[in-house]
Amino acid sequence: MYKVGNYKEQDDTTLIRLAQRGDEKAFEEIVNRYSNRIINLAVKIMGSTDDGWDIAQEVFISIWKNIRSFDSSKTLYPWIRKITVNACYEELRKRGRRVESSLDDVEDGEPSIDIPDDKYSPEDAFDKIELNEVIEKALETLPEHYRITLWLRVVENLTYEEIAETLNINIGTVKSRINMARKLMRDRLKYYLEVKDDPS
Amino acid sequence: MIHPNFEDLSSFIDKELPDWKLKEIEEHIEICPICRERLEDLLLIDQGVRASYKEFDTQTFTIEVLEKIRPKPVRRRSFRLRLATIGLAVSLIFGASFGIVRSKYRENLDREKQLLISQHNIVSSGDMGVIFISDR
Repeated sequence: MYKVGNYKEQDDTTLIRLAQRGDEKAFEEIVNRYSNRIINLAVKIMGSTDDGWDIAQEVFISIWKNIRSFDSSKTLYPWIRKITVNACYEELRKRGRRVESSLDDVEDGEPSIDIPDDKYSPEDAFDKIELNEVIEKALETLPEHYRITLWLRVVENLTYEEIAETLNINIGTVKSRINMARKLMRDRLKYYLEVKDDPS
Repeated sequence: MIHPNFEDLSSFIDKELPDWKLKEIEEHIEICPICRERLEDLLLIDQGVRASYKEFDTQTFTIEVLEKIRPKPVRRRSFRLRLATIGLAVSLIFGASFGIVRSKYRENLDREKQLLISQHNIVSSGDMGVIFISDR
């Protein structure tokens, strides 16, 4: 048995093996290590901090219950991330919101999508809020399938292939979603970007 | 001069293009202020998205998760309570058995009494085994 202080120094593989033998302290270290990333991811998909926290909690409980089935030779975080994405989509599905994860829902040259703009007003935002907050607000108004794809690329730093695997979509769809997400973000931030280039 | 389109610029940021294409765009950006500006805008957006990652205080979160994974403690009854429960159960079983036996005994007794009355021309009978014989 490890001393409490030593769990932090262990790699994921060791922690998983310990947790598989019922070591709660090892599992606690796993939660500490990944909870912030998982909460951020869940919050971004769900579009709500409270929902994101609840889902993240369910994810870790489910990981504890299923930890014995996890192949400890594999990397832990992608497994947790996939469980999180699935749990969020499942919850959104239950709530009857449209979740687009099929292979053919987004194609290149997809017509621009009409997104409600009520949450975001560039003029107001620019006057009152810092740049990053404006961008965060614009990100929140993206449809969830664009938001999550862009998030996985930019924040989680996944390749298109890894995103495709995580979301069960093909690489072409990943690419077009990222392009569309960036286009929508650029359009939303047009006012700010122009002002930035021409401060006079 | 052919400007790379939006999709290529987006894939360029992600390094999701063949090497020759990456090099071509890189060289183009160096000499084209328009595309450089477009690229900077996209990089700015990515930077803002990255900045929306929050550092939550997850201490409470971890405590709550651990509380939920722990098996609920089974309430252990005290020895006295267990003894009282056993005593009560025994009394109930004994009481019920006694009641059944007693009622069976009474049934038999009544049947025998009826038989005696019919056989010996007895008109009535009282408690405690006292019988009255008629004058007939």
